[in-house]
Amino acid sequence: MQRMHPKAIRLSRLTALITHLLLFFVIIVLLTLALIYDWTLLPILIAAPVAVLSGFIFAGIVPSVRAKYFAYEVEEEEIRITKGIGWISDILIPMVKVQHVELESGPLMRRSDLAHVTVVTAATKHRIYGLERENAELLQRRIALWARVREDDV
Amino acid sequence: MMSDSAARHLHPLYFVVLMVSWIKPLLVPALVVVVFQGEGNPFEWPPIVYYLLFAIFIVMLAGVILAWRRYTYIRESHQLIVRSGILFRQVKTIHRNRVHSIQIQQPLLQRLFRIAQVVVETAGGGSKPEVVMHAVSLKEAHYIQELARKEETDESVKESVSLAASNAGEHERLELQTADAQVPIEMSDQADFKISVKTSTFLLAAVTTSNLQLTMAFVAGIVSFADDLLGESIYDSLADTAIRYLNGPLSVLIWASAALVLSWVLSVGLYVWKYAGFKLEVLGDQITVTYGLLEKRQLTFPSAKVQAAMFVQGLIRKPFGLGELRLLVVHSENEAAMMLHPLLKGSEVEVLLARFAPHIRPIAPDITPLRKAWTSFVRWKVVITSLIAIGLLNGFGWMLAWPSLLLIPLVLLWGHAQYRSEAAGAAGNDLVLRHRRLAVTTAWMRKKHIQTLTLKASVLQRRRGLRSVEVAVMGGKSGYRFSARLLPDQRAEQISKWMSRGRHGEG
Repeated sequence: MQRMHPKAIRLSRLTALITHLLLFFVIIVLLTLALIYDWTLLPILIAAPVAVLSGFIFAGIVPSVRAKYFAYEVEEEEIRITKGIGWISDILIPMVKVQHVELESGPLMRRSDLAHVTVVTAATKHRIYGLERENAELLQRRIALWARVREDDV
Repeated sequence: MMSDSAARHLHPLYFVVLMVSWIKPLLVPALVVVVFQGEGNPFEWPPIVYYLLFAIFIVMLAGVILAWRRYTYIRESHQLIVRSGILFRQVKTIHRNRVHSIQIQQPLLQRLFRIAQVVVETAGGGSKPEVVMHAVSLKEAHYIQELARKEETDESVKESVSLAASNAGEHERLELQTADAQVPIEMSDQADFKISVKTSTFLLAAVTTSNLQLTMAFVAGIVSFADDLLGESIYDSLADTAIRYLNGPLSVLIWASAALVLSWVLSVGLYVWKYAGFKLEVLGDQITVTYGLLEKRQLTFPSAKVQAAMFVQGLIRKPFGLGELRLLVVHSENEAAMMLHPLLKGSEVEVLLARFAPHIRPIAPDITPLRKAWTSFVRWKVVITSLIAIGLLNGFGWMLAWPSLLLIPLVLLWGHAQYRSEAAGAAGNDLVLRHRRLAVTTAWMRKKHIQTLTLKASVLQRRRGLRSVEVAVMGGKSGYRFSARLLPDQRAEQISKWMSRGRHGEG
């Protein structure tokens, strides 16, 4: 089975860091206003350590754990995805049930030449994370080719 | 088929359509500020307001230009590829055999400009369409719509087209007909098979139903309106009276019992309202279901559209081996599971399914949780209930809160009942999953109707050799899920092998 690209793990950490830096910026602004206007500091005293802990978890632990358990395999007949952090899911998607495929990338992902592929069935959606862009496009084309009408079982 | 592998943009008038769609939601708040907040005369606004409005306009214009530039599509003979997004870019590839419908719409703005909006729907993605092209020329809209037409060119394509037609039939959503009570709904005299549920059976079903969700929503609605209807002083005095009478554990039990009885009465009333006059008939391969006290509802569908059958046994019915039989049908209403019979014995399910959905076989499950899974069923329930009991005892004192300790053996019993109920099985082309939340639901389905199969477990459960099995099938507007929890991992993986069509499969 294929794994998440190492660049995706670094990108995940970077995204979490950026999000938490923005959060810290908001906390600092609130702290400044609270000191100037003599507001209560209680919300900030709660929010600040929570933000630090959250940053440690989402930038430090979650990307590694997610990458550890994430794997995928695409065959002509089916797609298998394993994913999860606390709860691990092994997902089996018959190719004949795939409705269509989407390829997504945000600005940071494009800079790192990465993308996600989302497989959509009639009942569910499943994401294959952290692929190199070229591989993602290849995968999307391959699934789109294989996900055509086949003879179904009786 | 008009195919072209060149990337195309939307019509230039997309600018106008998009600007209008972004400005429209801001109009009402702006009106409120200007008129109702007394900020009446725009000529008296300070310059900063004009600069802000101009800056917002420039940002919106830049956004619209980028959105137009980034939105391209390629219409090939067998698929549509759509690229969109400014920051978060997306490429959607939709094969023609998966296209459910392509609609050409002309909302007011598009009609004024003599362009069209194209909406592409597949069976996936829930109730939202997959692609919406807000501005294309009418000619271009018809070219795109050709993707939904299946042409026969050679034998292999003919075969795939006929299969596509049958699969499209599977995905086609049915419209529920709702008839006024004054307009009689006629049942065909030529029906092959009819069921009209006896009044005694129906009443027994009504009094043994436990529709907690519906009742709680009803009670919540009453409570939320109570202060408006009664007036604040009456509402406050009623609340004070109630609290004054909650002066001991016995009174708490009495009030709780009264609340349970009231919710049961409501539940019965709502059931009768919804399902009175329940009738079922089969004519050829068409099933017609009719029910409703004042608002009669009638649904007709081919039995081939049935994705799964469910036998639901509530708390009161389960000890007697009774339950309600439902069919999962693909249709456009929110309610996915149609009632086939309100109350029957487990032994009668096979006979009824043979008549109404013969392709679904009610096989018996043979995979059940091992003894080591028992703690996983009860542990967190007992821990959380104990914490709640400790909190109540600390907050209200022993004299008032000791009944909360009775919850602990109750949740222990609940966890044990779940352990005894969970089961699964796979044989031939059929799967069965049995699961208990409060009611026990046994679901049967064919392999070909399963959209995805998932084996789930926490890290700790994986180490202990436990897996939960979950499947998704089509039903209602989007998917429906069935599960069986904490089965032995090797047996659960056998189900995965049974489902697999690839090299991991059984062959």
